[in-house]
Amino acid sequence: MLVSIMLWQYGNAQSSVDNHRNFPLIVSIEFHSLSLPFKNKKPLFKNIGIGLGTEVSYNGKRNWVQEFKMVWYGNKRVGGGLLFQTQAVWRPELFNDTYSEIKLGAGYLYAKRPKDAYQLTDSGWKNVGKKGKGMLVIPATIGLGYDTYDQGTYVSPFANYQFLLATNYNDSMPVVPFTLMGIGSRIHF
Amino acid sequence: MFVLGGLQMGMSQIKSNPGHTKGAAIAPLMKEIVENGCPGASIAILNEDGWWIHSEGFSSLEKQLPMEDSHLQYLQSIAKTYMAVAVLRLYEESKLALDDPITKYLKPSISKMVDRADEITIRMLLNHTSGVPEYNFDPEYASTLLQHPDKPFSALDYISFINGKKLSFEPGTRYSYRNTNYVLLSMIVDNITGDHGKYIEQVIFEPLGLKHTYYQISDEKLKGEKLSDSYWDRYSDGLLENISYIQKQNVTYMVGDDGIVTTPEEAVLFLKGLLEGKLLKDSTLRLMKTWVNNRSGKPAYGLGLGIGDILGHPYYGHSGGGIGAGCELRYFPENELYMFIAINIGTVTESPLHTKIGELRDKLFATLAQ
Repeated sequence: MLVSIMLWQYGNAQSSVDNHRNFPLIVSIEFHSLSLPFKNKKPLFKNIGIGLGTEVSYNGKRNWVQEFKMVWYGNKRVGGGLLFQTQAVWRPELFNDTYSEIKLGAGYLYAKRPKDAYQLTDSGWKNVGKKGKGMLVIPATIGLGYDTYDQGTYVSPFANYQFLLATNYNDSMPVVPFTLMGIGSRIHF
Repeated sequence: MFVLGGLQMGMSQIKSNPGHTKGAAIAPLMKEIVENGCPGASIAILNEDGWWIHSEGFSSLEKQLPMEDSHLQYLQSIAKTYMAVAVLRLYEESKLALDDPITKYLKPSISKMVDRADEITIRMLLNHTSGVPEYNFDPEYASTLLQHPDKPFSALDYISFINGKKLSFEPGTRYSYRNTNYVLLSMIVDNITGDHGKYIEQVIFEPLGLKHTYYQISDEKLKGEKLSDSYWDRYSDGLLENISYIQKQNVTYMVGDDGIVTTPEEAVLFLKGLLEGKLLKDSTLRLMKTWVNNRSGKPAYGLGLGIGDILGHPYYGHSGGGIGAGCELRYFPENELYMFIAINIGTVTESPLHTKIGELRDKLFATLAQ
């Protein structure tokens, strides 16, 4: 789909490298997995989530921005989560307003349990629901996108593959790997 | 005196002695174990007073089902002792030699995956002196298990995790416990017998009359049996979550190093049968008790059998730990006491609940050893 949009817009594209509009609305569909990068077993498109965010340029251009994003995802096996993250984004130009992306940042993940948990109390075991845990995460992302400047509201689609290291998961697994595969668009107003 | 009766309608006829001296001393500790964060626990003791079999707590917290003596428990790594017995039976039948290189019995495609396989012997696999890397240290293994528990693993899959990895030390120079050793042993027995699982049933389960002991489990095999639920502390915060599905899937596919479920009494019957010479010749049993030392210079492991001491009292046996269960199978030769204890809280990921449970377990062992 991303490629189709790129090709469709190719004829009308004008360079928008120097005309980045700050604070677009970033909307994405995300697919979550507990896995090492590129090691997830099929099916890939499971554990769906949604992402919302925005970004601001460091230099007025689209090639160097700071992104702020929130992702909610469900995951029946390992538990859903709410992720807040910010990443510095570098976008090397590929061709005709098509760019690649490399992102690195930090974030906070509140990960819930997939099942109800039980706590031992003076009166026995008590169901405390899917009570989760907050942890710091280090996200790193690669991606591909298309962005062409328009006088009015315009969209710029992208696809991202994100790898997150969640810290302090438990005392035996201090670092746990997650991946998020995202497809979405920035809506520039 | 104790009664070893036949087995009828899937139920054991072994009678627990209500006047068992050790049992009376252990009962309050069992209660304390479940009052301090272990959902359920089950124990079987056999000595001159006969059997004492007892369960406390819950097999299922959600359904508030009590743990019962007849519940099947996960043996986890205690399965290594069973695997070792199968290998040693082949040794007695002259179908393998303990100091032969493993390359003689493995397919070349498997040998190629193991660094310096031609320098590793069967004995080194049995007593964990081979230096082969641990397959379950690979983060891909743990992440696949948690995210995709339905994915079947084969022996080849486990060995693939160490493919291309160097040995941790010179083969035969020191002891370092690795599950991979026993996966390789299962493949060796497969190559000799055609099916190591069937061979274990044939040379261990059948002669000892173990009707409630299962290896390479499936729903079909466990039909009519009750398997305890399993719990783990996902975030090391003292809250327990039911992990029965992943635990069972994990055990279903493990070969050689794990994969057996049984009742507490049948775990004891296995160790008793082994140490009384019902499975192996005396000379082979002596080989099994040829210990290699740990880093502290203390005897630690033989051929599939561990050794240790509590307050100076020695014991033989094996321990087992999994994501949702833990257990110990021991024989204290000084007072001729066999025991097996199983808990349904995972022991391989740390939990603050383990601290108190561990203290109580040590008290329990000290009581049994004296």
